Amino acid sequence: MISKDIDVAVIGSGPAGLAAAINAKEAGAENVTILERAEQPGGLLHQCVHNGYGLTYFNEDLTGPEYARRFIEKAMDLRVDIELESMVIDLSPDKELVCSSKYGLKKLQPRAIVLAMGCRERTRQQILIPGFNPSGIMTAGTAQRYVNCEGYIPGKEVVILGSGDVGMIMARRLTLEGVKVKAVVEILPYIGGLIRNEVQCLGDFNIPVYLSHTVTNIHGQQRIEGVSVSKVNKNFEPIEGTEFRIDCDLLLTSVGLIPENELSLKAGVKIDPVTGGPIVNENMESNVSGIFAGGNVVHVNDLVDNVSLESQISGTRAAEYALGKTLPSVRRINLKAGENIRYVVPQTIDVGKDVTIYMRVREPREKVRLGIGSIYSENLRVVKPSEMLKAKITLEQLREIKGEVSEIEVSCVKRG
Amino acid sequence: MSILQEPLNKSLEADVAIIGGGIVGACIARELSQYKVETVLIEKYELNAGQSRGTLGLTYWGGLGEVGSSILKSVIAPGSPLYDPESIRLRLQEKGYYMWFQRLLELDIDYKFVKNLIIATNEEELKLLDNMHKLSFEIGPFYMDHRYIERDEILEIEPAVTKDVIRGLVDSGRLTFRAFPPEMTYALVENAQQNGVEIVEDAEVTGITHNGGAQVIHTRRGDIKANFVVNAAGRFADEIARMGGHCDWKIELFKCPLIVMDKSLPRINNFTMLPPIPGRPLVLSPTNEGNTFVVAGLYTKVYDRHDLSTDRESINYAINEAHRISPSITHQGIIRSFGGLRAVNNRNPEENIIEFAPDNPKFLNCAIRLPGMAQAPGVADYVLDRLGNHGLEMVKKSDFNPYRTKIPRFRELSDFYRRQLIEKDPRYGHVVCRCETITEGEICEAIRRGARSVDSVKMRCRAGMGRCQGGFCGPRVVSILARELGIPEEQIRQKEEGTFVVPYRSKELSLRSQ
Repeated sequence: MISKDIDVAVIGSGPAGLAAAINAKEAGAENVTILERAEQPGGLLHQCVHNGYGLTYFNEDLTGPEYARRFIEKAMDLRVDIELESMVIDLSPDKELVCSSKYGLKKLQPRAIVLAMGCRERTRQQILIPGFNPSGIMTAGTAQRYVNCEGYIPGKEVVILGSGDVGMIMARRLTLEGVKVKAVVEILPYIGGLIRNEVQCLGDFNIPVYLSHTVTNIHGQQRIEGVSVSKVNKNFEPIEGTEFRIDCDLLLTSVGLIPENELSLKAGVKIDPVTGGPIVNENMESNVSGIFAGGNVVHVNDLVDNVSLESQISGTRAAEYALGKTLPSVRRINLKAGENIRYVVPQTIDVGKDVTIYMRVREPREKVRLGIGSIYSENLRVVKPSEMLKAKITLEQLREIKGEVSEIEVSCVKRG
Repeated sequence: MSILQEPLNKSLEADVAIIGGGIVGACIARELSQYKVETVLIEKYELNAGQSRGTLGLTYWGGLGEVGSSILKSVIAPGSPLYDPESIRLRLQEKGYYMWFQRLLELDIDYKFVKNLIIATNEEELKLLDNMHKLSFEIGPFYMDHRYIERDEILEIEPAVTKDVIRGLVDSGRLTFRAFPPEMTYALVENAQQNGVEIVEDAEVTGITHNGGAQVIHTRRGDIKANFVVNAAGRFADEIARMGGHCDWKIELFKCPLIVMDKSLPRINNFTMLPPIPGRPLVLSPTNEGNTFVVAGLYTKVYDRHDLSTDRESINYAINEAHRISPSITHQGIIRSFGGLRAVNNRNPEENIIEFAPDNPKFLNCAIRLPGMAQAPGVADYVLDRLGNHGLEMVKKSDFNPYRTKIPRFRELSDFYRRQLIEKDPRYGHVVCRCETITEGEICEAIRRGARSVDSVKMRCRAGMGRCQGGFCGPRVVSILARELGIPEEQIRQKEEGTFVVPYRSKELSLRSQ
């Protein structure tokens, strides 16, 4: 009953899954299967009809669906098997997976697995906005799906809580649809998403932004009628007496993304409490042998291009694993997040292989030096939590690490 | 106008009209459906279990459960005894509790027994614990189902509690069971419907005409004629009572926030609490699906009957206190919070009101004090008795079917049965709600059984009840509802009237403004 002839199974066909599958095939894996729960491949790229994709990867400015299409076509050309409307409902540590679809249940035991389930949005409840539970409150991503894929507009006057990228993009999108965007409210003293979205989505459309503010109450028992907004102090607590009301019939939340790792946990994959994704090594392999991961399921990336680049590694290494060609490990080094670094991915590297390291800072700073132990140093003009840092480390640099060292610290501190 | 608000297309006439589709109304409807009695159940919104929805879903008789419920007693009826052997309410609760078991089996309702566990983590709490133990001796055998339990054993049966625990009291777990209140209500109503009861939803009652003969109930969807009227309107019972006759009592409401925690936190196995301080419940309760419920905070009196809101202070208080019982509970684990309402009458807050209006012998008021779920079957039995006394002719049906089966649950089935289900209906292979693994087949079945809104789908089959709170499946549920009901998506509601999810089509607004 259990099908065992698959080399690499990829769970999810978003940008991460597609890139991983393509590279797995190119690395020589014969049978590569993508399992996708939606009706079409491409993941959330389909609802991202705006441009800004592919600038790094293709050196072109593409929309989300265009970007997805390039990968889908390549995957088809390479004869990657894409199974649609197939949801993986179980995954065991010995890599046995159960997949459900209209055609029944299927059990597979591929030689290697790439987790590419992406991420989901945090909800209103997780950031504690008290008040009623009326209709007209949804995440920015859900609204994006309604507007761009289903053809519906969820409200006429909107307040957006949080200045994540999806929130800012929806501010522009809804404005173009004739919706009045009354405010973007951000609890941090700075915008949460990319600078280009701040300029192109908020600035260009004169959308009012309230920094260091948050929504402290929701009015309306049936349909939302308005929100209370308050200024917050340094500890993000609302300051009494600063509350004011904004009337609206829609509240969108864009308050962060969480990697989606329910399946990973079932397989016994260890999760990094900071990234919310699997702890991986330089091969993007988790603690469970043969289970790899790539893209937003590992850590929430800033750009789709980076998701593709990172997942290519997962795909290649998964194929090598399936074919029994994995290079032996020379010596493990743990990477530790030091000053002003929130996290580092991968969390462990091997001195025998060059590697690209992705990092995010804790807070914005100017004129800093990014240092990885004593082997890597780079001066940066400005760093922001919304933009990932990337460092390529070569074999030569890795050779500088002395024999007794098992952990190096990454930091991003002011120069001089 | 949405599908629910269409006027009634015939003039409805019934022997008995029940106003209110909560657990009490549902129980009465189901009891009546055994007899050759034309019955109509009228609900203001969609059937959604009313107040019971804002409870922990515990049905108990006596024991430590009653001690837990005594927390509210000190607020609603200060100074009243913990146990009054003369109480009619307790008699109905005992009867109702035992009546449930037959119904749980007949109606295929999921239930689990839970133990009650009261723990002490410091000297002061140890003293309170001893006091409770002493008190139980004074009251007598009614409360004697528990024993002392020491730290090691507590940590064994409840590994998620704080390591600071010193000792506790635990009962045998034979007197409290946990079920999902909306499931109980839907099961009863579905079975009543199978046996001929007419359900009229979205029909707020605006007035009742009664002069001698049959009574006419005016609803927003049209008039319903009935010989007898049973008022089971829960927190609106006094408003309805005043329409039906003279009424010298009022409903008073107390609110307490309820918080649902993510399934991924270490699960709580027992109904666990710190020694209760009057008016301040602090309780962790398991759900049958693996989430933990937190109830902690002050019961506060509220004056708006629709007020299910929460506020920042009480949630912060609740989480901080719950964190003391189980350190894994923090703000990050919250998936939903809402206010739970408890209704009592101001004439005798410790008792029910089940009596005919003094000036209308065919209008039976039925205002039940909590716990409503434990009492409901007992109350229904009592109500039928009273109706019989007042001249309702009750002849048993020969073809009464007491059985109802639940919507299949893909998530709980073995692979063998999953395959079988998908073979029969391929929609059961299509998972729509990824957090709770709910399939399209289940959603369609929920709609076939009467769900008309996103919320009602959620209550009937759990789609959207997980950690993303419908962020992913919401749009899909909306389009399935539109497809199955044959109406446009703009008319699909979140819950009651006026709660459309996506009110406009794209381009509608931008074209309008040009």
